This record gives sequence, C-alpha cells and structure tokens, in this order.
Amino acid sequence: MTQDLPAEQYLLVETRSGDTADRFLADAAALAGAGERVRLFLAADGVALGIRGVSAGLTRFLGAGGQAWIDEFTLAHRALHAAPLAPGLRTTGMGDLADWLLEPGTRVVWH
Amino acid sequence: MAATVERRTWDVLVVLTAPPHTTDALTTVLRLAQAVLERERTIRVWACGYNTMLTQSSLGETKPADLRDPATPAPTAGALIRGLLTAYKGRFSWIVCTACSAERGARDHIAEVRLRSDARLAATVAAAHRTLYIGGA
Repeated sequence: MTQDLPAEQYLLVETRSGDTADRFLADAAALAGAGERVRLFLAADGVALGIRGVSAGLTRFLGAGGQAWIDEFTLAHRALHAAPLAPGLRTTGMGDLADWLLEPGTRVVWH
Repeated sequence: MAATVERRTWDVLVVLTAPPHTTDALTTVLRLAQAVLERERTIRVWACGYNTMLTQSSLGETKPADLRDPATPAPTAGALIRGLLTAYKGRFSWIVCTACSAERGARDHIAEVRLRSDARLAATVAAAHRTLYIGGA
C-alpha cells in the first residue's frame, strides 16, 4: 500500500509458495502483460518458485515482460545457492529491494 | 494566527502481523529495515499480534543458537531490535501495539521501544510515505 497514485511501477514481493503464490504470480503476469513495469522479488518460502521447472507462473510472468529477482540470502540459508534457477531470474539482496521500495511512484505488494 | 504543528514523516512503515517463529517474516523485515537504514532513510515497524512478545525484557540478550550446541549464544529478537534502535537512533522505531501486548500479557518491554494504542494506527500510516502490510489478518 502506498500513497503514490498512479503507480509508475510495481514491486511485488512473494514470500510464500503454493496456491496463493500461484494466484499472486498470475496477477503479476497480468500486470506485466498489460504493459506495466513489474518487478518481482522472491524471498523466504517464495524462493522455491525460482528453482528451474517449479513454477509455470513465473515462466509466464517473465514471458509477459516482467523482471524477477531471487533473494541470495534465503537461497544460501536453505542451501539452495547451487540450485538451478529459472531462466531469466537473477539473484540479488535486500539492498536492491530497499532501493526499489524507496523509488517514488512504486506501488508495493508484499505477499 | 493559530500555531501549526508539523508532523514528522517516515520513509517506510511496516505493519507486521505475521506471527514470529513460524516463517522468515521477522528476519526478512529486520534485514529490510537494516538495508533501508544503510541508505540513510527512515523506517519504523508497527508490531502487532505475537510480535509484541518479542521485546519483553524477560527474554534477555541471548538464546541458544542451536539445540545441538547450546553453549553458543545467539542474540534474541529483542537484542537485534535494540541493536538497530541504538545504531540508528532517530531513524528506526519499533512500535508495540498496546492492545495486542495487553491481550497476551506481554509487559515490561525493553526501554527503547514505543508503546502505542491501536487507535493511533491510522495516524501512523498517515505519517509514512509508504506502508507495507506483512502478515495475515
């Protein structure tokens, strides 16, 4: 929730996996497909979606023009740092997330 | 002419209702707070629900890091929160919801946190440029 209207870009943070995460990714893909600038950050349980072949929703999101990153701290914490990631997904840390969060015109949704 | 009071605003407010010790939510919020603070910005956390238990003085400074190695200490959540409040004095704030705290019998919080009635939540949101709601209802 932000006070900035209209949004110039969306920042979506997924920290869960499972059915609700699938719906979240479907919304993200719809936004990206509509031409919106959408950044997706996978953290906590959400990093499971970033492993190659796990999430068709992530593939659709990236195919729709969205950009996605995965939290390198969580990957290391769960011994997934060497796991194969979905094509197009990049690793980053909390610093980039803070930068994006603080950008004016960013609408953030944390799931 | 009537005097006006200019309210302080904060860059980010996190309303944290996700219960601790069940997911990575608390750790993620503390990491995000540190990253925001390292960018010379301001952030405060409104602790709801069981998060109000974290800052009780009775929990102390350390806890066992690993039950297989109980002699090696790790900081408690309260110590981590106090560390941020001390290191970034004036730019980080941890607010304990008094209703949630009282419901759970959580008393004697560490001195660095603020206690605030849930009746002040709307004003707290209004004083933030950006609010993140993290957790369930």
